[in-house]
Amino acid sequence: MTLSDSAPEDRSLAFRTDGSAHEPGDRTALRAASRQPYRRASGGRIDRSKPVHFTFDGKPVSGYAGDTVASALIANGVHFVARGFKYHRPRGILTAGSDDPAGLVQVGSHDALTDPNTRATEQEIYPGLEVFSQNAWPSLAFDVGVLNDVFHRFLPSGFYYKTFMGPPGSWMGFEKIIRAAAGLGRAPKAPDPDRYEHVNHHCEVLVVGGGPAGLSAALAAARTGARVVLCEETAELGGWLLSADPATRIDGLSPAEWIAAAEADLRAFDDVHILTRTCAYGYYAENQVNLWEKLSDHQLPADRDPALPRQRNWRVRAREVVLATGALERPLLFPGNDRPGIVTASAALTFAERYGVLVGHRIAVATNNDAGYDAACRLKAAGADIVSVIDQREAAGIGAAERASAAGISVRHGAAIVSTSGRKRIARITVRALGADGGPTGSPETLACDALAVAGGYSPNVALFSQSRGQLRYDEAIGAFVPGHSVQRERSAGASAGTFDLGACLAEGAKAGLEAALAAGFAGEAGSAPSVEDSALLAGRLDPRVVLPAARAGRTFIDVQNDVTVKDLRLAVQEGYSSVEHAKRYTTTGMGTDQGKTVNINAFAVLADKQALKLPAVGTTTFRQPYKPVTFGVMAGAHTGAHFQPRRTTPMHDWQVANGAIFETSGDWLRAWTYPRPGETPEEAVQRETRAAREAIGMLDASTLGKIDIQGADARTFLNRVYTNAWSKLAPGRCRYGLMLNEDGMVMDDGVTTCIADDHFHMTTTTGGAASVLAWLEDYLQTEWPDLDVRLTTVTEQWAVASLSGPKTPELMAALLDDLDPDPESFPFMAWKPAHIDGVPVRVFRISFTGGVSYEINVAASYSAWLWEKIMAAGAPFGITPYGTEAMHLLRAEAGFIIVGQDTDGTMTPIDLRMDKMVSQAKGDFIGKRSLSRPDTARTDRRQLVGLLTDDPATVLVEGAHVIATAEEPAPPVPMLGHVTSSYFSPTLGRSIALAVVKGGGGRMDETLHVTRPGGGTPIPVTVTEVDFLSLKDAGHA
Amino acid sequence: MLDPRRRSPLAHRMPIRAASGAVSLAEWPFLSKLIVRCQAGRDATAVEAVTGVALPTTACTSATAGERSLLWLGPDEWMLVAPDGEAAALETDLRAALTGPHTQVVDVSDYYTVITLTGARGRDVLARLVTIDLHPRHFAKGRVVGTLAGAVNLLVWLRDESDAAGPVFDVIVRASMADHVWCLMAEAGRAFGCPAQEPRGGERLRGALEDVA
Repeated sequence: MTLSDSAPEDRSLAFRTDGSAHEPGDRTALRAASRQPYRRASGGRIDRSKPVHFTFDGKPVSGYAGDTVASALIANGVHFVARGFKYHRPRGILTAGSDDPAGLVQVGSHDALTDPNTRATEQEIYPGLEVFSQNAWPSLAFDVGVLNDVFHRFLPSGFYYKTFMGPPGSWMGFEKIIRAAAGLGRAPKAPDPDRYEHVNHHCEVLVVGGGPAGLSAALAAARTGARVVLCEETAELGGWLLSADPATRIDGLSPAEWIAAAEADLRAFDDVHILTRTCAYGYYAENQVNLWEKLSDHQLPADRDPALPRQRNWRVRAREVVLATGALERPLLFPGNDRPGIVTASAALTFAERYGVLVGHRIAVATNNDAGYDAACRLKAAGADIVSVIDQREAAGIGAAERASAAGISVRHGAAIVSTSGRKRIARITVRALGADGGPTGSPETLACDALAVAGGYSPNVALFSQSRGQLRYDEAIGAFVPGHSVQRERSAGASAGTFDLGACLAEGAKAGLEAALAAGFAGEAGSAPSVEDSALLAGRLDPRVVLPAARAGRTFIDVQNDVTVKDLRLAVQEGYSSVEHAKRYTTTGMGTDQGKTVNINAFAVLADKQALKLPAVGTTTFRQPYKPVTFGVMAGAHTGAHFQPRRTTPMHDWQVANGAIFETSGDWLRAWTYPRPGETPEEAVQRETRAAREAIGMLDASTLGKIDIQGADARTFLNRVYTNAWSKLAPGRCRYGLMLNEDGMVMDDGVTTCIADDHFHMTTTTGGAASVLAWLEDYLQTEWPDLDVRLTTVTEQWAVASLSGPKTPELMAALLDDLDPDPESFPFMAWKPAHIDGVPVRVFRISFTGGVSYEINVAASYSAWLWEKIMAAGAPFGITPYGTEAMHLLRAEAGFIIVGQDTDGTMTPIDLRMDKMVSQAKGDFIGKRSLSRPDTARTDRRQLVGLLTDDPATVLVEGAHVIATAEEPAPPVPMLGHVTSSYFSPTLGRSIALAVVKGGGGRMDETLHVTRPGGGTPIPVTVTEVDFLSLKDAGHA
Repeated sequence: MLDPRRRSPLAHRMPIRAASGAVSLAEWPFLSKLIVRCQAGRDATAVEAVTGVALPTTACTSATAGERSLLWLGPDEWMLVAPDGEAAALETDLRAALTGPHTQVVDVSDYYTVITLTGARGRDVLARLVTIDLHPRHFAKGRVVGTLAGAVNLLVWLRDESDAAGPVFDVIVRASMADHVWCLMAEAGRAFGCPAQEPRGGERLRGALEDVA
């Protein structure tokens, strides 16, 4: 068995490679795999003493430590790794880096750990690594989806928009089919067990890119004493130097020696961070650049350090940024340009020099610039046969053709590829001479090859520069966009600035690094420029023409991941989508996971060509964060699972858990909802707790209520302005309930505020409103009333609160308190007094949210768990029962007290709540007062809060149910009078009770209305009542 | 003497000392803490007379005298920290001393607790929680900032730093969120040898029951 797909037309082989017809034994396979027929005899950064065995679609593959999946597969003759998104055509590896558009694989088979859409060019291999092809069923070699390719002419650009149009409702059906066909890889099915973390880091100089310019920049900046971060996307520093001619010399050192020396110099500085396998994926405002570090994706899971996270998100805030992100080589456009085995010339060199792998044994080179000649000569020197250099220009730059011919390489000038063949790997190209108009003229000539290197010119990698909002400039000489005007504190150096000469890159990097450090306030001087011996041919005079043979010749692909062709783009322009942003979305060009890194500029060129515009007039699409797809894990960091967000607990939490509490969330708080006893349902528990609070003693943990300490001579004035009622005469020792409105006159919060001294008050707010009310009050105090002598400080958690209610409470209080007579006669309702329990200071408030005899004990929080248990013990003879928030809701509903946010929804005024008495007409202005007289707010037929009693006392209405006037539910739209806001079965009344907001409800007392049932059915007849059900009961009305 | 009836917010957590020795976490319970609002120009003398500490007026700095410190929180706001048991007397005395308008003295000792973070990698641990620049050039001994760790407000105070002991950070956090922050800090210290700390949890939740039903 062979893994090689170099015999692409052989169907039987195709079936063997997908594993459906195994050849005998894995041993044979391993032996075949270990041959690595495309591995060079020597060279590369791989460790040949460490063979690494992994699998691709279940079949064994061998490579060496230091290989990527792509380099190991190519070493074994495999280029075909995936299938295209739309037409399911075979897809190979185009580049050697993160810009590769379509060489996407699934890594790992574990339900929780599998990673889809991983670039084969980025995934480093380790023993036991499992790699799978994507977007192919039942197998990569035999894929049903390829039928889309047969019918490709029925899938033009804008296919979605044209096909899935109507009739109304049909999208629901289409969506299922589209969803099934969409996407490439498989998402993990189980929760991610890996850890991730965020690290905030500040530095003076961030250098992005570890190539020659980046290394020079980092060195220059580090020598000034500045804090430097150098990040490099791949496993090793060096960048293009790792792919350079080994004969190159920098200050007499080989590229590898120079890189090692530079790295050693950098590591000697304390304040330099070198991050490899780290991609700068987002450039944000204020010079924040986010880096994505992969710590262990290259390691065997068993070897991964459990103390370390899998990946880190570095949020780097840099004073200055140096972008040394290099350049990306563009492919060429010609019919059949999407076959596996077609690689960029620079990728072919990287595979040869960095990984010791030849992309083919018989390589053809197509180019529009001199870099193609450089690649051809070096690939030949590396051991490959060069079939020919096909140069679309009539003449090469000075020395290029000569060097090729000296190396024995044939060159076809003024020629282009017009078609290719080879199913799973390119096998033949057909070449024709070009006429003056760029069209083919000569007779076709077919050349056999097993790889095709394409050199379409270099595009500076300006993604981060553009993310920083820098303006691009088109450079005619290199036929690409380069950084123009900077907006943030950054500078580009080296190839990312359009500088390709090695010596110039080193000098430009050093200059940028020093300038950045100086700009950040550090001092230093420029070092001497290194001497460079480099024979590389640069692009030279590039022919930017898009040479496109006649349309009939076959499909020319622009975007090989999303399967967008030149024809699609031209059709988009023809149909009016001429703007680059429109054409992108209409055709999906550059919208794959690669975001069109290599291919976008070709798309812009086609759009320009079709509209007879110059390329700069077409412009570019927007470069957005992230530079490449980032894992959800690294976005979330440590804030997942139990660490997701704070769950605020009171000091009584552990006791509540131990006593069987079920909790509910209230904001970030966990509050005890009810305390069911063994064998009791939560509903039964709520009824029992409510009865206890009415008949004996109930105790509620009310610690979560917001509390604000208010001090200052103008405190009363302040309260008069923020509450609807009057506060001028509230004496020290007394408490008062207040309603707070927003400017629209709507109820925003409520609570009891206590006068401790003339210039000292204690305000309480709702639990959920605590933070927003304080911010609201501070806002008014600081911006509207800075003259008021008032200061506010939150004391929410300083005081823990036990709210005791029930007829036996005074007796219990008498037993508890050291120095206070709790007799309700001498210590009346709405009063407070300081006291002690076992010598511990407490504040006792005679306030009630139940309508019964109540005491609230406030104690410094550190004593509260002790005090809670002391009260439970002292209350046991009285039948004390802890109750939760549900019984609290029921108790207050029996008394007709509102809950802001349940019985109000931001559209209720105090008048709507029929709490007119809470609105002082005598005092001066207060927030929301003016809005109460707006015609709409003053209407008398607004929804008003009323009580509802069902005819059948056992029927409990559903909260949210609609209140209507008729006994039968009319056809929609149903005229709605209001809705039920609170509904319970009241043990005190022995029947159901409900609160509702009803149009003109205050004028409808004793009227019969009807409440709808969820899901239909005969509406439930109800009688409108006042809200204080306890009084109704006492009066015999309920 | 410690009153056994009191319980601190992190009483259920044992101090952590990473195997590497580079990170230690411990609660500093029951420290007296008071919010002092006053006008620096007018009231500094009065505050110093009561507390013995000169009122720091430079943003994000603190001043210490003996066992008491004043932490700058805002142009007219400080936190006074003092040994356990001093809060009540300090509150009374300061209120008596600060008679002018726009003043406030409030005991918040039990509102917040303190997580003390020490060890050579203390800065690295905090850098995983807060966005501020903790480099010694920018965050030296005595510095104090109010900031966010995820969804949590906290104060970060570099109480002390020496070559021998390394940095001593006090993280002042609301009692109700202390367990969350403690666990986040331990998680941030994992790379330096801190054991994982499981946040408080596992309670029966109303929604979860309804899901089952």
